[in-house]
Amino acid sequence: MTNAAQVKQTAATSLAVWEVPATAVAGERFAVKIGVKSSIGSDLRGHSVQVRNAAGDAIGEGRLGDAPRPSTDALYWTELSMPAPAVEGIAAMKAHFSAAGLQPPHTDASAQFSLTVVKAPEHTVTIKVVETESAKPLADAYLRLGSYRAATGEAGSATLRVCKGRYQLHTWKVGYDAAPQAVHVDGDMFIEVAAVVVPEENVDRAWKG
Amino acid sequence: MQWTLSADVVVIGAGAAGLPAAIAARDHGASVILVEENFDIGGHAMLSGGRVQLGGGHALQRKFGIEDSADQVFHDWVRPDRGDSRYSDRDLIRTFADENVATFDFLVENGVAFIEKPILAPDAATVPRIFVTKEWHVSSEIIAPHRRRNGSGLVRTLTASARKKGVDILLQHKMTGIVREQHNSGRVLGITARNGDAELSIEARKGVIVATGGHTGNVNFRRMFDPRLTEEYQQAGMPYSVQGADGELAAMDIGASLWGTAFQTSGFGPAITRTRHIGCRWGYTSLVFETDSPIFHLAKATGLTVSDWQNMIFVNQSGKRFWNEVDLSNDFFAAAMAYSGDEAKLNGGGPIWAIFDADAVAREGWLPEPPHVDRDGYFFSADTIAELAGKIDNPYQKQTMPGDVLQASVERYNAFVTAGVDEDFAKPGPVHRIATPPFYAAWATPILHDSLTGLRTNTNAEVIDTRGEVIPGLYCAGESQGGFAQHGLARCMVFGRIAGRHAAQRNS
Repeated sequence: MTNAAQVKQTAATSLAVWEVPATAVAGERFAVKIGVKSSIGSDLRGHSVQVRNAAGDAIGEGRLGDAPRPSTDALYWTELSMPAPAVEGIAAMKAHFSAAGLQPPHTDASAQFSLTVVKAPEHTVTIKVVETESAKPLADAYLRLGSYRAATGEAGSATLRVCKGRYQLHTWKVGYDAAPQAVHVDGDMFIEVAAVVVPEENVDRAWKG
Repeated sequence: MQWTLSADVVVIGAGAAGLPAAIAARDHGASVILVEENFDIGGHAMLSGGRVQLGGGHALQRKFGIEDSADQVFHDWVRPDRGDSRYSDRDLIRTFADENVATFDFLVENGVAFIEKPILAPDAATVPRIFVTKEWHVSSEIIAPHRRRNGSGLVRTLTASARKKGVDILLQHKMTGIVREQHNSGRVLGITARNGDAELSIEARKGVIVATGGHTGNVNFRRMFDPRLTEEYQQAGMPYSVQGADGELAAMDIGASLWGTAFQTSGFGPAITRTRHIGCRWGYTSLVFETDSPIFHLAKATGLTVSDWQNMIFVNQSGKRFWNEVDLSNDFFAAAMAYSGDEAKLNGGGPIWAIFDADAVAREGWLPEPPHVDRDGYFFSADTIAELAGKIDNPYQKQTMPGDVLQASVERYNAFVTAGVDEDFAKPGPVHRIATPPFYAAWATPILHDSLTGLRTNTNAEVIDTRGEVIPGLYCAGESQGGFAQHGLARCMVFGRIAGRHAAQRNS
């Protein structure tokens, strides 16, 4: 058999990794969801998936569940829990699926993901986003305070558990503009973000001179 | 030559230029045949927002206390500080300015109704001049209903007036050539046309008016101005209104010249635009064909209307991200049309795909299924990013997108989200990871809109040949006319009216 023919007979697998938290506390456990898909729709239930750290060491392992994830064709998945690295900072990791023993033969698959490792949070920061003219609270505004992220709820507020430190607070909501602001967290605090309405995307904008 | 039909004036195209031309010619005593290749009238104007930028101090402007004059219109549209005015042919602008008020009055006299709310255009204009026409009152006769396509009111009303005045409108008659006494000299005598399988010739005893609407739909023609504009770039107005450069080509065949070509590539004006409705073939920003559109069977999908470009990344046909997705400037187009690395396709950037996940669908509130998306080549979904790449199958996607490349692009972007910094293209945030299955690829290739150059004319709208001489009996107005790049309807109607009037007054 030629190599080309062998390749032709080998199906592929591919991976997705989701619900990765923005932050994880150093040394504490966090969880992600991992799904694997066979290009020919093979049944992957019970097959092993692994998460490796930047050094290539396995830090989490589990087996794919019995049923594909709803709304997918055949994405077999599981939730894996694993310890966060002990060192603060951005941690890159790799989910890996070994197709060894799978019939017909498949290629292995891997996918990278990352999160930010932080110290244990000490304080609660409550952030409320309001529109300046009307003082109306804005729901579904996305907040980023350093590495911490949240979205505001119906009351326009979100609560973050964070460490002491100096951060930049960024706010994003389509149709509004809010200036980034420097925040010094040294205790529980409340921040109000003023968002200014920006006109709806102007279809004539393209010919702004 | 044996003529099938005969009239004093033959107008080619029943849109924003052709309808005023036909009416004006009738008003000045000429018999008129108006040929239109489509099954219905209107052209692009049928799908337009109906924003009519006529100024000079007309009645509605005065009603709102807006101070304007013909001189002000002239000075605005020859401004040197703006790309949409600095290349203007100032002779044409002078005439345009002087004819603004009369053209506004002409529209009102022919039944066109305006919403009484002045708008200042974000272009060279310095005072509010835009008034929007009222949408046509018969929903079934609007090609893009429910979307404030108020141009329908303009063209339907003008059509009714034209018919009432005796203009003979021949639908589904496609002009195939302009007949001149000699190939490159003498008077223009008429046109040839096709109606289904029937060939016919139509005599124009006084003049032929080219009002065919521009050239964006003709790949070969548009690439004269910008070689990047290869076949993958679709056109606003399609699949209703074709801008096929028919008029330009037929006129050039008998010696006509182009004019004011700098506008087409100046980077100003909506010659190239972003798609705002993705996952369908024609997603021009303000144009959606709902399911009750009479041409929905051609449009095939409404598209998914994007409210927040943070919800996706754009990749080229190779699966590589190429620019900051929230940047709406012309730099975006330069990046989208950059060489993609495909050695078999050196010109054009190839298709652009929006890549997003299930979370983005939830945030946008989309239902990513037909009739919102066109699964016949313009929208794909998959359980993983790598699988998604392999599923993209589109006539303009000349090679399979490599799954590993697309996955690497998404992983790199997700890493930027974690870090809070887009190291590649400085997208603010970036805010959302693309991680939750299923995943989607939606057609988001830039779409062409305005023709900003065309045939050379004098101020009577008479077409000029390559030697600078008038081609007797040949006129041009609208987006097929060069020398003036104001977006929209006004220039079409002003010069359409001038062309019709002058042609009718010619000696046959």
